[in-house]
Amino acid sequence: MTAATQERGRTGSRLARAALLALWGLFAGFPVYWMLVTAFKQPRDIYQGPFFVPFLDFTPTLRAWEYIAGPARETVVHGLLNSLLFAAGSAFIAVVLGAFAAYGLARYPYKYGPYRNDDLSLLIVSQRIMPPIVAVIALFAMFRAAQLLDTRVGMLIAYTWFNLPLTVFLLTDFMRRIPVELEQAAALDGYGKFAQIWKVVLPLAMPGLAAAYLLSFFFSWNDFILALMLTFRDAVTLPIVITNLSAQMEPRWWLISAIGLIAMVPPIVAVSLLDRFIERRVLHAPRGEE
Amino acid sequence: MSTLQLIDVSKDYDNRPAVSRLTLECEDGEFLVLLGQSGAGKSTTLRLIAGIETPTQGDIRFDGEAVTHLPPERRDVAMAFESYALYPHLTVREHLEFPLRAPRRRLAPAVIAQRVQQVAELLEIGALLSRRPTQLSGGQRQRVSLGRALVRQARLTLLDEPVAHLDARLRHDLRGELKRHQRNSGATSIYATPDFSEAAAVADRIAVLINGELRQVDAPANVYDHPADVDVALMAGDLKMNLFEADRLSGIAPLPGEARQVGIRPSDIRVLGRAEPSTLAGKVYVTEPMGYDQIVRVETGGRIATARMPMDQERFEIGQPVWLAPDWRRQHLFDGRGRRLGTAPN
Repeated sequence: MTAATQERGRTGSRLARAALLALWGLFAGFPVYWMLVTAFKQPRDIYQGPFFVPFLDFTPTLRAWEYIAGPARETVVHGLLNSLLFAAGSAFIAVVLGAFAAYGLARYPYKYGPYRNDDLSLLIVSQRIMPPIVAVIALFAMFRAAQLLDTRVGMLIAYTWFNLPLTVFLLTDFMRRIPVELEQAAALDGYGKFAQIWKVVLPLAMPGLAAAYLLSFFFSWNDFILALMLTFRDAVTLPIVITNLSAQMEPRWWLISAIGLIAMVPPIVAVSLLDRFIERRVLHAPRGEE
Repeated sequence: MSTLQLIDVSKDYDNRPAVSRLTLECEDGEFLVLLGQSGAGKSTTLRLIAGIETPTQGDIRFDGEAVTHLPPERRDVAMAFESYALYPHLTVREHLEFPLRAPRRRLAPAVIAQRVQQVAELLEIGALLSRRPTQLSGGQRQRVSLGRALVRQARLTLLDEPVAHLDARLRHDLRGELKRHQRNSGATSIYATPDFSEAAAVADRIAVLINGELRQVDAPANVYDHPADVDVALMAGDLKMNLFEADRLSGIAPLPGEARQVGIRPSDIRVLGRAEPSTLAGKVYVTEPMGYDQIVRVETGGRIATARMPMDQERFEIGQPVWLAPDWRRQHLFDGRGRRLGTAPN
C-alpha cells in the first residue's frame, strides 16, 4: 500500500466514524430536542406541524408550564415525590442488601443441595430473565392479600424486589476482584470483620456500588408496568401521572413533554453526583508488578 | 513481644498436608527465620501464626497461652505480606496510621504521628507519605508494607519474604536495616525466605522446612556446618552442596560402611591442573569469574560438580582436563535415608 492510499484509507475511516457518530447523535439527541420544543408549543403548532425551530416556525408559549404550575401542580408534585422516594429508596435498599449478598457469594462457599455459589448467582439473576409483566399478576394478588396495594412501603418493596437481582449480580463480580489479602491485612492491623468491610471492602467496591445504584435508580424511575398495576392514587409515580393527564381526550403532547423534561432532571442529577465514584481509580494489581 | 509455641501443628488443604506436625518454639525477642522453597509451608506457617488460617490439628500459644482459635484481629500480630496487600484507596501515611488507629488501640494523635515519622525514616519513605500505592514502584510498595508491620510493637512480627522482588543491592541494604531494627526494638520476629544467605544474615536461628516438615532448627552456622539431612544440606548455602554416591568414591576417600552419599561444599573443593592422589578426574564445563572468587563447574562421572576458589589461583579453560581435590576432612556423610552420619567436621 502506498502512503497516498493509506492516507485515503485513514480519511475514509475517519469520515465513516464521524457519520456513524452523527447518526447516533441524531437518534439520541432529536427526541430530547423534540420534547423540549413541544413543551413550548400550542396544540395548533403540534397538530399542524412539524415545526422545528421556535420563533421561526412557531411562537413559543408557556401554556403547558402554567398548567403544571397551576391546576396540575399538586398531582405532578405528588407523583414526582413518589417517584423520587421509590427510585432513590429502593435503589439504596437494593444496593445495601445486594452488597451483603454479593460479599457472601464472593467470599464464602455455599452448598444447598446441588446448588453452589455460581448456581445461586444464576438463580438470582434468572429473576430478571422474565419480563416483569409475568410476575405482576401474582405480585398484585400478593400485595392485595398483604394490604400493600397503592402504598409507598409496597412500592419500595416491589422495586427493591426487582432491582436486587441486578445489584447482586453486578456486585458479586466487584467483590470477587477485591483481593481477600486486603481484608486479612486489615484483620492483622486490628480490625474486626465489620470494620474490615467498612474500611477496606466498601471503599474499594465504591465504583460498583455507584453503578449498581444508578442502574437501579433508572429502572425504578422509568418503570411504568409495576406502578400501573400496583398503584391508583396514593402511590402513583410520575409516569402514571403523565398518562393520567393525557388519557381524557387526545394526548396533550405539550403537557407530556413538559413533565417529561421535569422527569429528566433527577436522573441527570443522580448521574452527576455519582459519576466521580464510577471512575475506576482505586483497584490495582495486588502483586504490585506493573 | 511474646514467646511463640507451635505444638504438633498441621494444616491440610483439601486433604493435602501443607504443614505437618510442626513443633517449634520461638523465644521472646528472637529473630527466627523459616527457610524453605516455595510450597514448603513457610507462608502457611506464618498464616497459622497470624490466625488467617486455623490449624487442622495442634496448638498455637503466645506466652504459653493458647491462641489457636483467636481471630487475627485479637492476636496482636503484625505481618508484611509477600504480595504487599496494600490498600489501594489509602495513602502511604494512612497505611502507617491504619494499625495505630485500630479500635483496640486508639493511640493519641501525637503518638501516632511520632511512630509514623520513625518508621518512615527507618524505611526512607518520608517523601512518599501522601502517595497512593499505584504511584509507587515495587520496592517502595514493599517498604510501605514493611512499614505497616513495623509501625506498632506487636507481640509478634511476621515477615513473609519481605525483601523479595527487590533488586539485589536494595535487598542487602534493607535486610541489614531490618536486623538492626529488630535488635533495637526487641520484637519477636519470624521471617520467611527461600534464600539461605539472607536467612543466615538476619537469623538468630533458622528453621528449615522441607515439604511441610520441620527438618532442623538451629543457629545459621550449625545449619550450614551440620545439616541434619541431605535436603537441608542442599538448602543451606548459596551454592548447592555437591553430592557424590559413596560407591564412586571407594578407593579415593576413606568412608564408613553405612555412608551412601557424600556431600562436599563447593568452597571445600580445589581444582587442580594435574592428577594427585585422592582426586576425581573431570573436564571443565564452564568457569564463572565473580570478581573475588571464581566458580568452576566440572563434569565428572556424568555429573556437574561445582568448586569455588579465589580468583588468584589457577585459571581454567572450558574443556580442559582437571582433577577435583575435595577436602575430605570437611565431608558430610549421609545414610541410605539421607540422614546425617556421625559428628560434624570442623
